[in-house]
Order: sequence, then structure tokens, then C-alpha cells
Amino acid sequence: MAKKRILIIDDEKDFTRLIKLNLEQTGEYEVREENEGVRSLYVAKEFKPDLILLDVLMPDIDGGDVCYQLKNDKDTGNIPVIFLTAAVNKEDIKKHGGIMGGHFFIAKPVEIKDLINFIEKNISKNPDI
Amino acid sequence: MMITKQPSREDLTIPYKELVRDIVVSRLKLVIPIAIILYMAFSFLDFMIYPNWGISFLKIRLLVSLVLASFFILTLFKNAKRHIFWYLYAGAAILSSSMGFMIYLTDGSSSAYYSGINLVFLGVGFLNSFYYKENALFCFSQIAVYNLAMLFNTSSFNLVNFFFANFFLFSTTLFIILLSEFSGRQHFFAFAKQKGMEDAYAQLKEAQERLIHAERLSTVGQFASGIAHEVRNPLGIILQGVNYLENKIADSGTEISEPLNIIKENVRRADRIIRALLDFSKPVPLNLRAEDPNSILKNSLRLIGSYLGLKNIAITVELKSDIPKVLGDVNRLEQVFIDILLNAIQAMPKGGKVFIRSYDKRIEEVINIIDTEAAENFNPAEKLVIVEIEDTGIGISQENLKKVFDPFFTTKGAHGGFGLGLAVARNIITLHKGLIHIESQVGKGTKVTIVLKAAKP
Repeated sequence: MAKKRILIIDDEKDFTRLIKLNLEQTGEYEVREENEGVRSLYVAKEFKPDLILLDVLMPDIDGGDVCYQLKNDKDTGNIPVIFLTAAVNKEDIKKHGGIMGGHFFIAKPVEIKDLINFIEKNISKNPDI
Repeated sequence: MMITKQPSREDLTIPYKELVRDIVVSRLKLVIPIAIILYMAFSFLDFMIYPNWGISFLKIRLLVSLVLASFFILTLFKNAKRHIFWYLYAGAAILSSSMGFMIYLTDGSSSAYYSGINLVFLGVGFLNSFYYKENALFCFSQIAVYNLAMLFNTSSFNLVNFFFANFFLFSTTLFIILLSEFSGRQHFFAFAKQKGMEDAYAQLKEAQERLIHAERLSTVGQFASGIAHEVRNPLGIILQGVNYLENKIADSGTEISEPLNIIKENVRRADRIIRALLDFSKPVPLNLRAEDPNSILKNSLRLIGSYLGLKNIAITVELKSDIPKVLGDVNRLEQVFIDILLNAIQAMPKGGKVFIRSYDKRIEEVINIIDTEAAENFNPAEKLVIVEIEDTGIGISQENLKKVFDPFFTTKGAHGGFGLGLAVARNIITLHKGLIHIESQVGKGTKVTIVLKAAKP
């Protein structure tokens, strides 16, 4: 069975590296890392992921702007995007069922098993549809 | 409307009396030895003017000096100032009465010893330059003693001398009265002015410290989001690293898994602290409605009821039955009451008692716990609802009491809490336009008083 393709976009190199190692360790995923937000659209069009993990606060571009670009491109518009954020409490996200402003959210720090659960629940979903 | 604490005449009376007593004590300590020396030195006059009475008068002088010396010893004790005016007037009366006695035994109205009584009057005026009434009473009583001495010595009665002696005595008395009245008034005004300045300075300093404190808290709040983001990123990385190692060494047993679990638990702990910090710093929108404070208290108790039972704590509830409703957010107020109750429980690890009370008062009845700044929130015509939660726990030292509302201040150790509970509680109560006040004594317990405005009917 083909592995699920996950694109993780976050300026923290150590974080994206460990997410890649943890997800690929399961044998279920092929993961691509991107640490420059401005390259997100290009990498997404090239890699064609099944799901994108996207940081909110990046130095070169906001996660929100990246998401806008992705959603407005015909090649990437249907890919589910999950925001990873350190600025909001888990409880606040939970109160809204993991969806805020029409997008999926996970609060950092997150354990890999919780991340995998969330990925599996939403990898074929897109709240915008 | 601001209620300020300007010192009234009544507020100043007691401290002023204390100050006056201190001054009179120190003056007496100086004057009594001088008086004894002068009194004994003037015995040479006895031998010159009344040689037949020289020895007798010397004995009188010695006796009086001994009495004055005993008064001097009394002034050395700590409680001397409580009775200082008694010592002053008793000593002065003994002095002037001894002169009156000498006058009676010798030339009566022709005796020049009345001048000694004038000297005593002047001495009293110097010692007590604050209260003219007491001086007047003393002087007139001694004039009466002198006149009795003259009148009983009818053999030497001289009308002219009698008139002049009384004239001088009354003049000296008038001088003393006017001097002590004027001097006393000036002294009191100077004291009141200085006290007012000291109080104003103290209030200014307190306001400045509050401002600095508020600035610091505001800075904490402003940086909270930034801190949360910057700290949570490395925490996320640590957690992912631990997850990777856990999976890599899945069958390694407790030797490796235990430290990894410890790391994970502490990552979660750090995350909880950041969460509490964000809760403290973000504005709390309140859902304000007229709520029954007794219901909120009872519900808060119900929520922690089972915990109370485990901790061997007896609860006494005294809630006023017809208490007015308060304009409040029921969830936030519950949060405050629960937090305070949990603090009370944690202060009694071996069990104890908790008292919960509610009642209503007007602002003037609770002025002792409302400071100038907080008083601005209250209208004198308003009814206030008071909630008290008191425990018999270990108490808080006066030094720590100043810090209990500071973020992250805690006396409970690393695993007892983050120290944000009371800081958040105060935020919530302040948003309700109320105030929270804590009194405590180490070893006796703590009382938390919350003052809220009654909702308009």
C-alpha cells in the first residue's frame, strides 16, 4: 500500500526533522520538510502531499497567508491543512472541536500519537468542502 | 467619588498626646535635678533671713528633695509617660506647698518666699507648654495654698504686701496660661502639618509602588503570548524527541522508559504553566448577570465536597438568607471561590476548619479593608455584598502577604501550583469592580474577604 504523503512546513528545523523521523518510523508515511514558508506553494505543488502540517507563526510569512495561497491554487486547493500553533491553549482548541476559523488546529507541544490520530481523522477531510 | 483618608483632629489627638508626653518626660528628667539643686542651694537664704528656722527649713528642703528625687527615678521607667502629668503637678505642688508652709511659719504676707512660688509656676509653664487648662488649675490651687498660709499667719499680715504678692502670683499665672495656650496651639498645628505631610508622602509612596507593580504585571501580560510561543516550540521539539526514543527502544523496560516519562511529564508541566500565564494575561470577557452569591458559594462547595471529606476538614457555613444579588459572571466567581477554598484546604494538611460567610454592608462599615484607591470603585450609597472564607491553617507571614497576588508567587513548592490562582482571582474580582483582601497570621489561619457590588434591583 502506498505511503501517505505528509508535508510539514515550520521554520523550526529540529521540529520538522523529528516529526519526519517519528512519522516515517511508523512505516505509514513519507514526509517532506520545508523550513521556508515562502517556498510552501512551490513544494506543495511539487510533492503533492495528502496532508499539510503548517506552522502559524513563521518569520518570513504567516501560516494564514500560506494557507490562502494553497487554497487558491487549483493543484493544492483540496489538500487538507492542519495548523500547528504554540500560541493557543489546547483547551481553547478543544472547545472548538479542533476547528477554528474554518481550519484544523493542533496546539504545540503535541505527542506523536495524538498527531497521528489527528492526521488519520482528517487526512481525507477538508473543512472547506 | 473618592474617599480619602485625611487625618482629622480626632485622628491626631492620640498621637499628639503621645508626643507631648514624650517631650514632658524628657523635660522633667532635665528639670528635676536642676530644681533639687536650686532648692537646696537656696537654703542659705533660710540661714540668712530666718536663722532660727535654718535647720528646720533645711530638713523640710531635704525631705522635699528626696520626694522630687523619687519622682525623677519614676521618670526613668518605660511607663512613666502614662502618669507624667501626675508627677509634674505633684512635684510642683509639693515644692510650692513647702514654700507656703515656710511662709506660714515665718512672716506670712511679708515673706519674700512667695517669689519661690512664682519660680515654680514658671517651671511648670516651661515643662507643660502645651495645655493651658492644667497649668491654670495648678496655679490657682497653689495661689489658694499661699493665701491660706498668709491668712493663717495673722501676726504678720500686711495688706500692701498681701496685695503685691497676689498681684505677682496672678500675673505669673496669666503669663503661663497665655504662653501655654499660644505655644500649645502652635505646637499642635505644626504637628498636624507634619503628620499630614508624612501621611501624604506615605500615600504617595504606596501609590507609586502600586503603579510600578501594575506596570510589571502589565509587562508580564504583554509578553505572555510571545513567551508562550517561544517556549512551546522547544517543548514541542523535546516531546517529539522523547516520542522517537520511546518508539526506538520500545522493549527496553523501565530503565529507559522511566526517565523518558519524567521528561514527558515535565514538558506537560511546563505547558500547564504557560497555559496559566496566558489565562492570567488575556482579557477575560465577563458574562454579567444578577446572581445569588449564596448559590455560587454552595455550588463551589459542592464541586470540591468530596475533596474536603478526604482532608478531614470541618465546614461552617453562615450565609445571610436575604442577601442581595450581585452583578457577576457565575463561572468566574465560582472559579475564584473554588481557588480560595482549595488554598484553604492546602493550608491544613492535617485537617482543620473552614468558615464561609456572606452578608451585606454599606461602605462606611467596611472602610477598614478598603484603601483609598479601591474605594474609588464604590459609591457611598451602594450596598456591598461581602463573602468571607476563613481557615485555621498554617497562615501566611506578613512578608509573603505582600506578594500573594503576584503572578507565580507560591508557598506550596514545585508541585503545589503555579502561583497564578490568586493573581487570576484578583483580576476577576477587579473586573467585577470589587476587591479582595487577605488577612493572615502564621499558625492561626487566613481570612479572605471579597467585596462585591450588589446588583441594582
